[in-house]
Amino acid sequence: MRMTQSGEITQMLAAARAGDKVAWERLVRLIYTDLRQLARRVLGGSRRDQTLNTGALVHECYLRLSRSGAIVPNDRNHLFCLAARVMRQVICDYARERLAERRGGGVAPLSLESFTAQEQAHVEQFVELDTALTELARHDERQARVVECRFFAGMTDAETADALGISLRTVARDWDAARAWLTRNYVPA
Amino acid sequence: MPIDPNFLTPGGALQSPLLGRALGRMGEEASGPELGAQIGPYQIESELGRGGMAVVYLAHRTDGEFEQAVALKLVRPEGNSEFAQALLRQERQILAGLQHPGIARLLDGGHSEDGQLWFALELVHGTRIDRYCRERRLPVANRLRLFLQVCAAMQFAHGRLLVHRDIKPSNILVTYDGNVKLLDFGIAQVLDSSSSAAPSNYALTPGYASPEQLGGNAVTTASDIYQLGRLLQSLLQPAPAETDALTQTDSVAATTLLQPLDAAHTVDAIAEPPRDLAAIIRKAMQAEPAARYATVAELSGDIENYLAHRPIVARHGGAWYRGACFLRRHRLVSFAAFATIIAFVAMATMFTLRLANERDQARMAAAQARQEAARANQVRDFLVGMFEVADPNVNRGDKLSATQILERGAADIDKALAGQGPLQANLLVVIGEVYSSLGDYPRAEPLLERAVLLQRQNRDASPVELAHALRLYAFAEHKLDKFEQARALLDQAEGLLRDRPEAKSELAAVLDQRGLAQKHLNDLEGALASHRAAQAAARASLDEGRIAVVDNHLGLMLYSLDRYADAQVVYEEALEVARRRFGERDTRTSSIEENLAVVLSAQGDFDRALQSMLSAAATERELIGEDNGDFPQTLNMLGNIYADAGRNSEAAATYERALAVDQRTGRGESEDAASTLSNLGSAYAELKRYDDARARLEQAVTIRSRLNGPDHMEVAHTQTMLATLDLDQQQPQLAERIARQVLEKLNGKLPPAHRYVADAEIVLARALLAQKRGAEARPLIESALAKVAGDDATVKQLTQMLAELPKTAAGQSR
Repeated sequence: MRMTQSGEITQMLAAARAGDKVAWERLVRLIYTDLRQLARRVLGGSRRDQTLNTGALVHECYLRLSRSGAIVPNDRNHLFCLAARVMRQVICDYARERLAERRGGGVAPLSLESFTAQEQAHVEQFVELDTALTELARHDERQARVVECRFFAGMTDAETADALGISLRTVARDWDAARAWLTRNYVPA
Repeated sequence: MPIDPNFLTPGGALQSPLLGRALGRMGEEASGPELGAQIGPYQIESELGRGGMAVVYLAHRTDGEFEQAVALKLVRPEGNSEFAQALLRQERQILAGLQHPGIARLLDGGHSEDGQLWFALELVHGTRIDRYCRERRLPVANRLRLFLQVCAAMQFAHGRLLVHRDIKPSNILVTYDGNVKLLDFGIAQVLDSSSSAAPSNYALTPGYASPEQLGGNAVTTASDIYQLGRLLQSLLQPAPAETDALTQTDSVAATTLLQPLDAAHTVDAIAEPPRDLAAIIRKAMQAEPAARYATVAELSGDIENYLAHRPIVARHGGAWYRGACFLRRHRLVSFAAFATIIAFVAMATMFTLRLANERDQARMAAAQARQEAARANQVRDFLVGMFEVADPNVNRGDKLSATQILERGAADIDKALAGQGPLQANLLVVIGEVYSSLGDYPRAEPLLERAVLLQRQNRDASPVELAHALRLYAFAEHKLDKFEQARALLDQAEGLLRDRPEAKSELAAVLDQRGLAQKHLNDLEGALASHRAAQAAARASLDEGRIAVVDNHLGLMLYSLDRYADAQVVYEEALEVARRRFGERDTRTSSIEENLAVVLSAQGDFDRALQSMLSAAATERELIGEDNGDFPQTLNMLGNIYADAGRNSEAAATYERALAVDQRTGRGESEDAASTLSNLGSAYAELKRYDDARARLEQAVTIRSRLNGPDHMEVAHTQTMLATLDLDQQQPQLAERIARQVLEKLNGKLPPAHRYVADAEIVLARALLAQKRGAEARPLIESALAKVAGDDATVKQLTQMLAELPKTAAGQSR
């Protein structure tokens, strides 16, 4: 006897997941579009020090997606998590490349951008944080997700709780724990 | 360098100056054709510039007809690209005939394979008009003469009844011999008319759009006059115009926008235009189109009057450009508010635009036109009112949330638009939909209910709009668990749409939604019929997104009814559509293939299931790579098919591969990995590699306990599997103890008839039988038997266990 029905359960879950991927594939692309639009607004706009509320951006993005029929609206929370992850990837990849450029690596610098001391410090911080977060996710994936939502997507406690399907208290606890771990305990290898 | 606690704060990444740079770089990397690529009869040579939605390349003709360098502009339309293409074909003829030295000619246009529109424009070497003025520090008179050139070109176009719609500095170049060239004539027209969202995304440049454009009304030559006034204003006041307009530009000169403003730009500003010029600007930019200059000739005539020191015609016009300048007045609006407002205006515009179109078709009389203008103003005032909430002077500097703005809008809608049934209804729909999309169904419900009511009362309301409102209302009801209500509303919507071939996509959405409601009401037959009808409508609509969603719901419905063969037909058809539309090598196609494989496997057609899953996996790996996306889950499903087919060593190898990818990508401790581990444990048990099996299952328990807590049902179930291992290794007492613990954990958590409970009961029964305690085992077997109906193999196994009982039980009872 096959000892379990777990395979079948997995299949059912996977079927739903796989089914949604048609939409999810489109969705990832659409999020990139929205982030590019954001870029246009930031750079085409007037104030370079503008603080951005990505929550609103994600809302807007979500509106457009749900209007286009691309996803069923109860996937909204997934979208928020995904957006946070995309934010992380966009900015950390950028920082990583800048750091690699600065360190040479045998490649001619691609960008002629000059950085202020603060920007240079941020480049290093983002790279450290990205590495540390990946490490953290190995110990506690949820904590890493909380950091993505709070730090990278600027979501509030409540938005994060909704997005990850956990309680407010857990969000606060995870954020504090992750923050302590990332800022104190993390020693780069 | 350790991470600075001051850096790691909520929203910290968004405040970093690096974000803007990273996003900017991302914009640069926006996918586009490679250099040397062929677009229509043109070959791309180099990139000239980029804006938010468009890239402009230097290109030349390659079909040997004649050598011609052009500026090739590629735009991705936001709306219906097929419609945009049709419109482009129609407009191209007219625009090609627009020959004037001040207008860069549109030479050709078409669409690429992936739906992008391309426009071949006369190549112009020059400088943006505002830069030109600034860099040469031109005196006012010279600026006005350049402006007159722009007017001459516009007058020529208006004489041919062509409207530009998007006049702004970035669309006007000055050549090196001092001649003005207008770019992008007619492009806004094509993009604007094709897309419901376009006014906000393309043609509507904040700071340059006329009030009627913002209000979503028919755009006429009067809008161009408004924009000319705005242009004149910016030429005379370069600095504020530059800082205020959140320009979304796509011209050859677009690159200049991506550069930061330098201090010199502001030094050169002409502080205050002379009073007469201010009056001219004011008259051109009157909120009411009828109050502006009637023709471009009148406007340029006044400029000439000014240059010749004659009295000008323009005189004061009252409360001027109230609507147009709101962005400037409220420039401290938080980004949150801004993004929401843009989304909101886009939707509101869409509705009013649609109304305007319908009326155009009906050839409205002048009286009606005035009435419409009045309505448009009401809508605009209403929207402006919503902006004002975002004014820091009004809200004391707090950043506004989207919800606050919506609340204010919802509260004011009755007051502001009293007696305007259709407009009121449309705005209620918009706000209701926004709430729904934000997941706030209790707030959405009453708004949508009222919208439906208002539309019913209005005899002129289009049935399609009413159906749309009904669907949104039904969706909110569905989300509030009022399934009966939702179904009734959707029945009405279906009735309205039944004989309307133009609304097939909406009909498909209505039927799809009804199917979901019926499923909740346990009307499975009805649900299936609705999903099937939705499928037919979606196919007829040619709306790819809709087809994908609808097919998937239908397939899952059939799958959950255990109607695997029918689900197979759905997915086979869907696959055919996807292959045709998206091609073989596309992840949308491959994910349908995966679904098909699952369904085939459920029917025991393992060979074809494997073939489909392997093909899907290959596509996925090729397009996305192993380390991205859900590749390990695809491998997991592939492993399941091998396991179901009894090919356990191949299954185990596949699961191991999935785990290796999970490990490599930092997902080794995820729920997905745990599920693969427990499947792998299963496969090893089948192969009698008990130690390997035990190690994997224990790992799965550890991960799942950490993720979900030690009492979670998946943890319990994995422990059932471990108990089975104990049985296989002749440890019935150990198995008994674990199985009892599992049943205790599951008790009360799951419905008593849940399969996991049955599995635990079976293991416990077997453990008891192995200890010759048949009497205790019998009720467990009977209880399990009641839960596994439909699983023939298990029913057979349990029946056999029961049949063998009496002897043992009798022996035991004596």
